[in-house]
Amino acid sequence: MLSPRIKQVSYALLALVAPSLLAEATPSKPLDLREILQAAAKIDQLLEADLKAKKLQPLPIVSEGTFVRRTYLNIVGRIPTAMEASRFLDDKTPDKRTRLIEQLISSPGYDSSAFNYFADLLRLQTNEEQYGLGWHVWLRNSLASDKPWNNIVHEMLSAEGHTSKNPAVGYYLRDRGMLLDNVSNTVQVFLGHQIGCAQCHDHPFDSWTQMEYYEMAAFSGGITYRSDEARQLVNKVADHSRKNHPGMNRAFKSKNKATRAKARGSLLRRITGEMRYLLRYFNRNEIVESRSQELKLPDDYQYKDGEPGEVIQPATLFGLQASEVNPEDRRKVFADWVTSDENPYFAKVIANRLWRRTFGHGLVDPVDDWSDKLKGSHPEVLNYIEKVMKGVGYRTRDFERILYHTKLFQRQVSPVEATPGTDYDFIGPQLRRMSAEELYDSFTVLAFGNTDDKVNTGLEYKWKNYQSDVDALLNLSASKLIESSQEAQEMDDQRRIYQRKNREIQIAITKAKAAGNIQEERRLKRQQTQLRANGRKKQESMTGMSAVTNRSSRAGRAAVNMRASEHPSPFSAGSMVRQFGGSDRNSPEAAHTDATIPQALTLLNGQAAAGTENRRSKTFEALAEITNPEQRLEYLFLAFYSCRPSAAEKKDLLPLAEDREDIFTLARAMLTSKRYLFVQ
Amino acid sequence: MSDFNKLDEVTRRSFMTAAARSCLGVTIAGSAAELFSPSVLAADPAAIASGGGKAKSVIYLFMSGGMTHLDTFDPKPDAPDEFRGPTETIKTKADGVRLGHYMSKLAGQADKVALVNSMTSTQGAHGPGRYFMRTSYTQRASLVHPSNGAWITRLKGRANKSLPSFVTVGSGNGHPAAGFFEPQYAPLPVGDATAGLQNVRRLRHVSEDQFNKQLALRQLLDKQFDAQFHKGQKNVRAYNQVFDEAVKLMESKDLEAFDLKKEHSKVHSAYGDHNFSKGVLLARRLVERGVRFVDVEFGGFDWHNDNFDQCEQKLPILDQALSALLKDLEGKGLLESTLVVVATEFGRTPKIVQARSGRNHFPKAFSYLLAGGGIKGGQVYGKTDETGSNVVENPVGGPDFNATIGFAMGVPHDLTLMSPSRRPFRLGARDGTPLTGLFG
Repeated sequence: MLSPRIKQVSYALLALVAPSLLAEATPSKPLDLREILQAAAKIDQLLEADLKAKKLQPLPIVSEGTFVRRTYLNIVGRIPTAMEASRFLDDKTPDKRTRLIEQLISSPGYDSSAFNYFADLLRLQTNEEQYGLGWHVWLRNSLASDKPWNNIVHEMLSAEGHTSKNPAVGYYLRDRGMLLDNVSNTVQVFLGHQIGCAQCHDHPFDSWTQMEYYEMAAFSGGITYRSDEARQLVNKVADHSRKNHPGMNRAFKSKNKATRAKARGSLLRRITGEMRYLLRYFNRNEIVESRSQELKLPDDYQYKDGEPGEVIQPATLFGLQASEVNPEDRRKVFADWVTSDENPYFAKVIANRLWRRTFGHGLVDPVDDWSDKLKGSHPEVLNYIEKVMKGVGYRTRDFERILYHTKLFQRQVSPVEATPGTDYDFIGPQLRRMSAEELYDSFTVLAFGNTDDKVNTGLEYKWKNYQSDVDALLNLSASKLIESSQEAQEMDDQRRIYQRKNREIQIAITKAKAAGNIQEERRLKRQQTQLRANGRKKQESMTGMSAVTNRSSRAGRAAVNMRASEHPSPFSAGSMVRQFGGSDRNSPEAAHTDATIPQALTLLNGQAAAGTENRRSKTFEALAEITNPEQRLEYLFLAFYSCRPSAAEKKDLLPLAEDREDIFTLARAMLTSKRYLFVQ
Repeated sequence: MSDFNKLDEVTRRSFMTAAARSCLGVTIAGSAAELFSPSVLAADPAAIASGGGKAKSVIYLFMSGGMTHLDTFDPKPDAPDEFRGPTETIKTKADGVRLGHYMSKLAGQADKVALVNSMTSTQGAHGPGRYFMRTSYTQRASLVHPSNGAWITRLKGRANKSLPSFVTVGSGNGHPAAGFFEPQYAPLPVGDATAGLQNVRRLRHVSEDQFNKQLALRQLLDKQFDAQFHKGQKNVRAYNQVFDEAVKLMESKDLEAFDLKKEHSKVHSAYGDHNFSKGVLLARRLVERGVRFVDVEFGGFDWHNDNFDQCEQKLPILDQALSALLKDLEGKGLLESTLVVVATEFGRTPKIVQARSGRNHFPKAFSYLLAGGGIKGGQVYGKTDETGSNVVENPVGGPDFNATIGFAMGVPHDLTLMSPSRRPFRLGARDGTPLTGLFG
């Protein structure tokens, strides 16, 4: 009876204990280097003891060139510039590796790279609707300001209200109407368990039953996708209408309660209808916790432990159990349970995820299916990094900092890949192809140099703009609200008329084309261009509520020299990032690094290949400036491989560096080489 | 090549014995499985005797998100309102085949199609659902199973030397692709059919000589890297493979298959303007040139909200493209040799969620469509109850369906191939049974 699931701990008690525990565990500022290095050494010591017991040798420490390239790619997500690489290689001080890690981990490049990772994990979509932009900006700022992971998760899981006030609601709005999917993803992402199967039936392999799934989901059973704020605006206008139409008041003052309610109801319906165009997208950006709404078993529930349609009380899957949860506290209790230090998985799962991010394989692998794997391949290491995660107060930057300072991070990669889902001995990290974003960002380096500090301020600007538009809306007087509603409706009518006309012209163009009537086709195309221009002008003249009445804000595009993280996500399906396996943000960690033929074609003949020869590119500039062939060759090696050519390579390749055409052929060859594409 | 030729002489029987042995874990090196010669495996005599083996290519149209069965291929005119919604049932050219009213064009082609209204699965989430229908296996952490396209490519062999045998159009990130098969069975993914295949020509200022020099330099630069990693790292081998294929493709005279501008505007307007329609047209151009398997994905069928508005918007796109494809294949004499499939990961809850006029995920019962490739048209296989909630006749699982594709292509759906971890797998999983009755 004393298994953890049975242990009865009321959350009221937990709430009293937790803050003091946290105060002890959470240092107020980043750890100092000495502590960091101690923790890193402890990890190495545990790993090496394990290897010794297995009679295995760890792989040797990598060369300086491999180290500098790997460290830039892992920590800041891009190759170093030729200058950055040579500066490191020429540095003669003994602690230069440690210093490079320290320098990079606190640089804006780390923020960019970490954002890509977490956005993929959380399935962040910037432009889907307004909440996406808010969630994007919120996540980016949270990570950059070192908000601890437990707080980030807690804020998302307990979020409610309108996105303009609390952008963390994006996590739920992301899955509007698909609450059960959201719950499955929550458990998979934060707690490393795949309970999705139990959504429809008892889990065939794990022990989860459909009932347990529903109990878990019941914590979120009060979520409604509607807007209290919008309702208040409707009420405001309704009250105003009553005042201005005294005739209405007869029904409202009736002694009969039903008559009064009916009058009120029909008035509210009418006003809601009238304000439809002003509020329809505003409406979609809020979740409200309903006290009375509860989760019920599905109509086809087939097991003996419940009836179809039966109301289910929330219960946790493992660890602490919740008792006497007030309806309005359901999600807060859920968020407490997920992120609690007492949760048997929360700290371990994120620690293990970041371990894999650093070394290419999990101590528990796969990282999101922990059934019966609480120990992993190295139980002591896993225990220790769990402690470390809690010890650094869930600050992921500090946690990764420790992993980067291990000797393991400096070892050669294993020549043989570890089979996913099996134990690995960690004789060295895993070889990997650069991620799609790393490839994109490395092309940016070759063309523009280091642009880590170029932040797309357009995103934040658009978001602030939206927030102030929402503020303005909420403060509008009733008569102004009526006016804006009419304006919004007109705008919508216009849009419809425009769309119809545009469709008609399009059909006419197709017909004209088919009939071979070129003159008519031209005339129609002119007409279409004009129609579009007029449409744009009208849109622009509609001032005020434009951000609120649009479905999405079409967040600012990033400049060409900005890194992947500065673009709205996900990248479009035809983009280079997606071609190289960048996430479509439809499932957690959807990114991959698999080879495809179009990738090869892009590297051989595409923009990137052409980019090295673009006259304004950094690589081109440098090659044009350097006249000495030996230095040219050296520059290319530094730019692409972060090392200088070996004597043999010099012998083979120097003749090429003497010829203007050949040197670019060599550059293009480097771009397609696996030595470039892979991270050793 | 010599090993390869030797294998050609071995009879199919002895291959099957070897496969059976390997299945039982008795012997045969894992790498030998790589050498299966297509000519040995092609044209399963048993399949041909019972009407299979007529197809040379597959066009696999995947409605991603979970296509509603009640509003498309399995309408229920007699079900109560709360199941039926505004969807009406229409009669078609074939007696007994009925469709949702959004599929009016297909109704005129119903004599070519077989509906399977008894599909059933246990996978109710999108990713795992798609994975299961494409691979016959449930998702595992330790290995990725090959998709049906990779199996067909491998078992049927290449018909066009310069075009890849397996092409995906508009696929999401979760496509299992070649799975644990070697990279040569991986698909060529085309993101946007209209844009076609990009970067297939040398850069304007790069001469052929310089290009060849560049290829040679690439080898030289990677010499040491390959010595270290080629053997132990599959993804390294994969990059060697895709560069070879890319260069072959650049030289292919069939490259124009990817150029939809080569089609007359009448053909374009027959298929429709949507990106999916273009993908279907591209698929037709590819199978014309011997590509074995084209998987075209049509996203956005996850209609938890406003199911019927979505039907009005989306289903006519499918209706038009599919009908145009069937007519087009027939006109070109390719219908008999091309198996067309409409697939999805699961159906939708028969009872409408009133509050949002939506339908949720429903793996228990859903519908697929087959046409061409030896399929006898104008028939309905399997049956659900009066509300479309339970399969009551001839249930069909994902493995059965993939076995049926294998049967149509005349390849042994029950041939066992080993994964690198030496576990046995088949196109139709352990007990997939082809629906041979659909052919003839």
